[in-house]
Amino acid sequence: MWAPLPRSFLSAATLVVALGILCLLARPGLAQTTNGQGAGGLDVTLLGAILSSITITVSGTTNPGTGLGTTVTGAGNRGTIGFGNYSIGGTSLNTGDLYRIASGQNPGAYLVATLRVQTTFSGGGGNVAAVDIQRTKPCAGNPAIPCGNPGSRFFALPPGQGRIFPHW
Amino acid sequence: MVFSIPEAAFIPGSGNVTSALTNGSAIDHQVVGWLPDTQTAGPFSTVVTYTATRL
Repeated sequence: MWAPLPRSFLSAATLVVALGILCLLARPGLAQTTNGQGAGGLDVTLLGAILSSITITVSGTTNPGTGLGTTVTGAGNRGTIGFGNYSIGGTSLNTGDLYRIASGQNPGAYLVATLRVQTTFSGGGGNVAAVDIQRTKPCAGNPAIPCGNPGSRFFALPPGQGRIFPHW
Repeated sequence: MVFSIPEAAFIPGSGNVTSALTNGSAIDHQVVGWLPDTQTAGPFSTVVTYTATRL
């Protein structure tokens, strides 16, 4: 028994971006085939087809509030953002924005990547797409980025709205 | 809108960031890491996964 694969399965695309932070603290087309070989030598071939497709592209862009850009390297379905070395009180990174919180009970720094995810459709199918973003181990220990003050964050600007990102 | 990014869950919550992206449209966003001064030195990394489904 074979049923057509749902379109949502056929048209899904996934891209992974690794946010890499090297922190040195100065202490301080789908086809599916199966074959069955039983009594009588029955072979069954199942074929599916892509009804529609979607490509997503994640790229670095400029923070309109600071004018600083983020560079994404890599190819295919994986990209990397290398912030480089950061020392307490340091003023720059290899890419992205650095916001130092020097006062208060919990001083530290925000490392900010400004990114753009864009969809491209091909073939037939629906006129809109859903996009999810998932981050792995945002609050675990090494090698994940720790949480705190108030933790790892995500900020999104809706399409077509020219609002400014916050000052972290 | 500012969202925390929970582990093993899409944001915000269990839903999509958006379900209304048209062909060629885009969402600008920021992913932010926090490094407290008390953090022990070392390399840190995290992974962000994007999933798009044409509806």
